[in-house]
Amino acid sequence: MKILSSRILVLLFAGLAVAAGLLFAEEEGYRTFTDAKGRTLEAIVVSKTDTAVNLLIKGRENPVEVALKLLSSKDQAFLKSWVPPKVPSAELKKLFLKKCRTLTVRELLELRGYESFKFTFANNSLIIPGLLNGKKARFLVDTGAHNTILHDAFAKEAGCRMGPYDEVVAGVGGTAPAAYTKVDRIQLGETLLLGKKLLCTDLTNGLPAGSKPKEDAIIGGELLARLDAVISYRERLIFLRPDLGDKPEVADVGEKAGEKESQFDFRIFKLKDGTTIRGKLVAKNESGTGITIELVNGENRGFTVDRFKPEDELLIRRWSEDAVAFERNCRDLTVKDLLNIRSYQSFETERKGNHIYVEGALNGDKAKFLVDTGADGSLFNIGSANQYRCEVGPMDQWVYGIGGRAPAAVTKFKSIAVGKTLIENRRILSADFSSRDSVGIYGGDFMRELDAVITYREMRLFLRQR
Amino acid sequence: MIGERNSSILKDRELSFSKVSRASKKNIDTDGFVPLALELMQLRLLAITALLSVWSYSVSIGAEERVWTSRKGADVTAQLLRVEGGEAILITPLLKTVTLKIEDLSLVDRLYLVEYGGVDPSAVTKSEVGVPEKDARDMSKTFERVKEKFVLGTDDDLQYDMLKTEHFYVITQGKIRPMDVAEVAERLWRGMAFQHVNFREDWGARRKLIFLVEDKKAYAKLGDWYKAHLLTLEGEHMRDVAVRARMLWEESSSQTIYMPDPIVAKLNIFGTAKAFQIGDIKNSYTEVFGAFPTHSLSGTLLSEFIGGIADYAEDGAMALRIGHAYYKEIKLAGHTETSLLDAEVYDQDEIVKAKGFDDGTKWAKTLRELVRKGKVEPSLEKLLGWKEVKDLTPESIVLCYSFAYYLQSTPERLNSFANMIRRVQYDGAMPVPLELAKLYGFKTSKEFETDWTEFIKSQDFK
Repeated sequence: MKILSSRILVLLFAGLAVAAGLLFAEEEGYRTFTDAKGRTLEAIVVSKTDTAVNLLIKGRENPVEVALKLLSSKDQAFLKSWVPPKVPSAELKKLFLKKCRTLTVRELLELRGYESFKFTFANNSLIIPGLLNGKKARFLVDTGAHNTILHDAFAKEAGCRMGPYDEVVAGVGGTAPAAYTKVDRIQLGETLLLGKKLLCTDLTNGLPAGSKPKEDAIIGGELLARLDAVISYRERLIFLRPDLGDKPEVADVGEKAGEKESQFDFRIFKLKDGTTIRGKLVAKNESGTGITIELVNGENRGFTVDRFKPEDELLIRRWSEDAVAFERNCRDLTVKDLLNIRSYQSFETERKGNHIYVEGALNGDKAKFLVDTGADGSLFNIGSANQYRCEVGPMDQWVYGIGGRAPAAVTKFKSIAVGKTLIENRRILSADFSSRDSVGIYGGDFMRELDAVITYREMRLFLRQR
Repeated sequence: MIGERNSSILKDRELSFSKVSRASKKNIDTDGFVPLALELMQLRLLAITALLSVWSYSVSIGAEERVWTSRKGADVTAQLLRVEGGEAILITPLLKTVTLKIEDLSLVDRLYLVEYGGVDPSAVTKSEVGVPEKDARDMSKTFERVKEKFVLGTDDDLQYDMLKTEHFYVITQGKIRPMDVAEVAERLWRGMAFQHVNFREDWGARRKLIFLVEDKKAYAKLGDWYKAHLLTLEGEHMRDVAVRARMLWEESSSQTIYMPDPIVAKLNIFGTAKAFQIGDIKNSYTEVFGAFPTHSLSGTLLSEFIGGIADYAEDGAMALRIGHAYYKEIKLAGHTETSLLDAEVYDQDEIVKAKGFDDGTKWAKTLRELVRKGKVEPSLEKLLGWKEVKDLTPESIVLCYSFAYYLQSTPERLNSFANMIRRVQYDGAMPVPLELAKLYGFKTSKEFETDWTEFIKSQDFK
């Protein structure tokens, strides 16, 4: 019954469709299609194969596949020469956003040649594994560190040649002597950094007796910016671009892939033997056990599926022509698009040197905060805390950081707002430290609570209040 | 603070098992895919094809692979394929589809579905409180005896048998069987993972060590080793730990012990272990959900998950921890047999004991009568002020129990509890009373207090 009434409605409608609103429809990306019997409808082409087309019919939420032979010869001719638009229409984008709902930031960025690293939390600090001169190392991802710094004892163990301690590093705890050292090689996944001159200092300086540093080295803002880092607290992942490192470890990664857009077609595949290749999957045999990968240089190479590491093996096993069409559309999405559908708010950040700042409000008054993934806890500059009418207690606490420890005071505040995100009625510490023109540090505690995503390339901070 | 066993009254347990259902083709919904202006029947077939291909996009890439937990007893590693009606359709690494009712899924899963599956946020609280610890299927088949001994020293008394489970090593000496305590530990672990978003990921691939030592002499040997080990550790905190260990080791039925770094690294275990002195009373350790180990391990899991709390912001932390441990003990074992023991090491070396009402099967009834008669008044301010065992009376311990019970007593409150614990974990600080009230949907702490009092007076408090 429902189908019949729909049909009548359509037949009535079909006669009117051509004249009414056609221009408007075309502006939205819709086109009028006519079937072999002369009936019409408005739809957007989503994708096509040699024998069928996926159409998003106006007013419908999901596309349908229609055999080409059912359409008029004019439409068939149009579809024969149809190529996906470089900029999808608003309707199409909406459709793919809907379909991309299950997509994670990880999958989105891996389509763009990023490599992801699962980080672990040490309190609220982010730790990723890597190699320093071939020795296993724990790297603290620290947007609040201007530069990359090594723990000196670890640097010695890793065979780094140390210079004299004639440099100074500064942090919330004050200053500490530091030395330059030459590091031959840092490896973070597929990202290589070669021949770096880095500072090292004693990262246990000022810590309570018996404490051990949670990191062997700190990756600072200069490297994060260079590698277009993206940090996602919700997914516990940091993303880096291996091709922005010093030398490609990945086969073909340095090859020019032509237009920037087409580089997105290529991803990194990891094999069980430890090697990696960059390419795109172009074919799979009928049994699903063998695949062909087109490398960046255009060469096609065959592989058996079982040669790949489990994650890539899974991806390959699930690969299909449809997936390619989906990926093609997904790559037009931005991290912002994706996070918008997850109720994130997006904020521009300001970069000063290698530090990033975000605007907000403290106790209702406009304020700026240093975005610092290396800080377990947020921290006020004590002068600012007083100025912004926080309740500042006696200096009977300690904060620890590069440069040792410094006295601190328990500080109650009513609200910290960044956009519509609110942190209310909390107790954090205040200390006397140089915070430039910010009121203090927006640390890992608040960023974990608000599922922060930080993108260096777009210089944005995304936050979400659950 | 540590726990001490009082008695051992155990009740039979009831466990229910079931399996996840698998998706069938009837789940494919063709409504809405019938093109309007083209040949109907032909296109209905095409529409099905279209549907399959549209959804196959999200099979190919899309949601992350994660562990899904149904209260019906099964865990499955899979990706979200789609949501249909009240069901989540998942796909496993072997490309099999699995269909699970959303209302049966863990709170963690339901939150995920709201975020990634477009499920209405009301799904978070459209469920039942349930007892995920009891709903879990039999886990013992996955336990594995380790051939090598666990060795702390050359002395025979410092060599132990090991049982490996998914998340624990149970280290035993004597005739005690490790299976029941291992099962309790794994079920309590599942309960935490069911409820708390970060729990599974924070735990990672590590295991927690649990010592079960039957013989008092052997337990004393373990204590000697531990006290000597503590002397090798630096720092003010470790000096306190050493004093407490010296004072309490023989007296207590369980202790948290710091493990040497090489063992931690070799076995990939947590830095602290739990040691139980079984002594003459074995009943608690030979039944799943024996009261004392249930209390002790549930407190340990919550504390491990939350992590450290700053001393300037720990108001209510003790009430939360001991209240939660008693809540789990009574909920799962049906009674409590645990009293508290602590060492006062600052002013003078003194052992402090505290316990709740004498009859460990009637705490709720007794407190309800006292509150109804106005002899006990639940006060948030007082509760948040209790920071040491010496502050506790029987009434205050049972109030802590009622507090933790209240916090987890309905699906809405369970969700608030998970939010609160997450915040404590991130902040390293307990929420101030107003924030606690707001987390539970109240405008003032007084409103919270009134609701908590009404809960105690009601028959919901058991």
